[in-house]
Amino acid sequence: MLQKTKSYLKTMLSVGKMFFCALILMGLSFSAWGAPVTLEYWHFYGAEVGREHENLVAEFNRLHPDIQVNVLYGGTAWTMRDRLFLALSGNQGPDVASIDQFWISQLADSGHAVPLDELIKSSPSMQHDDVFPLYWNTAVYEDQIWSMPFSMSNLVLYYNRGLLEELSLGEEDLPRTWDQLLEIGTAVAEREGGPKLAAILDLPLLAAKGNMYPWVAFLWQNGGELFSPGFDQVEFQSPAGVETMSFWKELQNKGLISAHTPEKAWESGKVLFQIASSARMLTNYRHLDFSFGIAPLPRKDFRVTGVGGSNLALFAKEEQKQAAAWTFIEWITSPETNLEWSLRTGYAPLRRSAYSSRAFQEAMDENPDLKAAFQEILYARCRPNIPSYGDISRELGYAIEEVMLLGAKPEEALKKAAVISNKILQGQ
Amino acid sequence: MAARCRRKSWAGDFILAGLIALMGFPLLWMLLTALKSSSEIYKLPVRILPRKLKWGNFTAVWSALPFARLYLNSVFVALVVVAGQLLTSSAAGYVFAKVRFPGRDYIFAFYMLTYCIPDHVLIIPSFFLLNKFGLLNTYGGLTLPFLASPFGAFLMRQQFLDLPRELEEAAAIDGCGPLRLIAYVLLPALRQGLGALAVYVFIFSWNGFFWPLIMTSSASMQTLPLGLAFFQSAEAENWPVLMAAACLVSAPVMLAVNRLQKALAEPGPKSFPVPR
Amino acid sequence: MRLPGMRAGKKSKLKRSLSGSLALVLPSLFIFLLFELVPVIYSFYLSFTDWTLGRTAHQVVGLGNFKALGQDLELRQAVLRTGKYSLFTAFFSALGGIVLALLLRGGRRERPLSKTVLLIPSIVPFVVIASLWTWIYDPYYGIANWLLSRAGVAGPAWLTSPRWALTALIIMAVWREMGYNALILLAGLGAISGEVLESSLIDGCTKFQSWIYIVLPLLKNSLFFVLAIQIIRGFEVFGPIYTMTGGGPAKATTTMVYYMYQKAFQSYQVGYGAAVSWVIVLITFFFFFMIWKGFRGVE
Repeated sequence: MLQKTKSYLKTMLSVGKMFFCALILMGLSFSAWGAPVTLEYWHFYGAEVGREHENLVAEFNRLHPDIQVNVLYGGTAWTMRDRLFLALSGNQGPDVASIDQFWISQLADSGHAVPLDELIKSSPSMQHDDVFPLYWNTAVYEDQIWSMPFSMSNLVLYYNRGLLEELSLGEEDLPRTWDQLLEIGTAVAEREGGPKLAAILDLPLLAAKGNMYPWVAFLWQNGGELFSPGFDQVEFQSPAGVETMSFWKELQNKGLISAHTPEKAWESGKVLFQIASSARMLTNYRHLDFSFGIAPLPRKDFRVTGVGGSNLALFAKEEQKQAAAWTFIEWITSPETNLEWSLRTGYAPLRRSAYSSRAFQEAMDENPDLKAAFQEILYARCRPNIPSYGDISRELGYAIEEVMLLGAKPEEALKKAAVISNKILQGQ
Repeated sequence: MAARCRRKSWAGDFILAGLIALMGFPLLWMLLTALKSSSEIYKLPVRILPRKLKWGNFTAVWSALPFARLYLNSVFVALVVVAGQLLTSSAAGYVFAKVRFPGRDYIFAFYMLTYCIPDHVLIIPSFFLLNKFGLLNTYGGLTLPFLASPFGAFLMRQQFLDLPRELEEAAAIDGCGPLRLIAYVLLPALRQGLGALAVYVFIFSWNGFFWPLIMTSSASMQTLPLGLAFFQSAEAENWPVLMAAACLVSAPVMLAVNRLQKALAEPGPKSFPVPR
Repeated sequence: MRLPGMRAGKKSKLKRSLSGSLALVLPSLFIFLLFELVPVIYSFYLSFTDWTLGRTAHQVVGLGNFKALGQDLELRQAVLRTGKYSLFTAFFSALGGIVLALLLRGGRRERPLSKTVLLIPSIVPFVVIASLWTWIYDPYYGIANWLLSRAGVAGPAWLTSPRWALTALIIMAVWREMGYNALILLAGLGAISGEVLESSLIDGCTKFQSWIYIVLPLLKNSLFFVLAIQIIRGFEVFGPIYTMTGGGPAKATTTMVYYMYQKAFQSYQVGYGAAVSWVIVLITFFFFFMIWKGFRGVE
């Protein structure tokens, strides 16, 4: 009786074991083939670009049934940055995210971002050399690649063709230099009659609108630098910096720029020039009911424009998720997708192959603005990747506001910002 | 004399009406903007009334935001928080008002003191605490910290203090324990106070912004104010649709406001509510 | 599990009701300990460390943060700015509240409709208020400047002007809090016997000053409450700044809590941010105490 029960139990046990093993196997196979790997992905593209971007992600999901990318719009770049760092510190961050280039130093230092060198090297489709070196510069911090360039743009000068004509100016009158800009702008400001303008040049003067981005480009054109070569001190308060700030002030004094240019003034056709990102031309400006053109930024000693846009950072540490996230990055920056993205939005192509592809060359021939914008890539320069860049750029943004809105002296405002920035730089 | 006073009161009526109109105007402006087309709002001179009512802005909100999900989250969180606070506050209020034990009033005073500490002091520690419990980005994280509040305990304590002692004594003679006493005798007598508390807590929960902002990390957990804020940052200049969304987000609290103004009308220290 | 107080076994009646009652406060106590007390202690501890978000190790630096606070010029400016915001908001919203309450008092004026309209601004989510007023304050297409232009005044750029941004926020806050204050004060007036007020009102027909000497002292309790609440709210203001101005332009609206937020969430200096937040607590308590003393003095 006892024996019987024992053997009965044994059989039951082994059956149970087998059943259990089968279950585990099924479970494993289920998770490997059945259920897709889900990834959390954050970005900060708003409005039209945001919709285009989410369409792109949906396309990825459609093509990759084994991976499901969930999208979260994280707010403006600033809001998303705050949330991203906090969420990562609490292990609640996304697996992959669009980031502004300068975030990577902090993301790398904190150990949240995954360095990409090995992944890039071992990826058959990535082809490191196909991507323009300028864009790799946006992604390197302390000799390692920490993010994947994705949406690249540069600053250009937009002009309203109709207004140019009404003011009896031609394309040959477009300002090539600072002096010409001042001259033409002053002439327009002092003219009598003619079209009513909301502003002659639309340029962000508020820190919240990103006044730093064009200001640094002007600084570089003037031969100035943000930092000393060893990054141990700031240098924007140098004579070149003061001169840059004074030039902006003069633009304001002569009535070319104003801190209070109404929203949508350019879009409603009441602004002659606008300095803005090249990425707007195919998204935000697609529906404008006037014709506009694109020219390089007016230059001074050097021809420079700033690189903006966003890169992709990888955070997933778990093997399976990391592989899936890398697949996502590979796909979205592949020559085909990249070409598609550039043609849809106006972001610059990342890759030589996309740039020289027939589709892109044809598009450039059709649309000279596209050509004008992308030629500027040759003169583009990116902001330095150091951990305190965010805080220092905020201080500089405030200094610009103090000069332009409160009438502070350029030397004094820059000096004040430099004192605070040096403290930040030295980690105080 | 009387005639002069009446004239004065007419003047008062006039001033009052003017002031109320002034106070109500921004809200009316919200509705009027929500009914205009986006080209109309960028016309100068400013038009007060929309030329043609554009109800489409309201439907545009529904397609621009995952509005149903946001609404559901907000409603769910608010209901849980209200239910939780009604329970914990009436229990705590009862104890602090009616049960004698040594040190009771000191504990209560200490409890109230923490009420004066700004929420922002607690944000970072709370965030990492919830992280330890694995509650970030969950409904638990959105509700748990708000299931009890010093304010609720304070309000209910006042309510219990104002109840006549005989009510309890009669119940005690019938052999009621504290729980039954509370459930069957005291709480029904406090319907008014509970209603007021429910309204405050509802408004507080519905309006919550900063906590959900930092502790949610997926679109499916977000609440309405977050959705609205993100909509504003993504579609910065689309004021008509934004204002339509703002109207939809405010609608539930506007419905609750009538109940709240009744609660505020009761004189005395017990009606010192601090929603938010 | 035995529900407290349902069946008590052999315990004495006192003990029974005590343990049962303690079980009743347990949920509140639990949440209080976990989400109030522990974070408070933790934050207090953090204020003595140099913890930086993203760095795992941190050290106790003693009073280091507080010493640095003493020399922090930006914080000093933020404190003054916040004080200005808080006091102006409290004063004008209380004043407006008194006027409204006195006008509202009595008979048909005390209709629910008018009270509802007054109360709505204070209970609508501030995210809504923030976007609404950003639109109202638009320098070109906003209704504020349009109304001003009709009165022949060229309106300022409000939120994008360093000189006007804080004022713009104060005006918004006064609008928001006034109705709420009015209803609290109205309830306070209701507690005053009708006769006293009636007679003073009759006198008031001839002499406005007697209102101030008769009605205000009677309103003392609710006025104290209103001012205290408004001052505390003013010192803790964060939401409108976060959503409307981001502390700018040119730091014109960087208040104490926003400064703390910048330090802790944007520069990741959590330890320093915690120290700033305790300074905010101290200042708030100080003002609360001053008002309390002031009202005691009136007695």
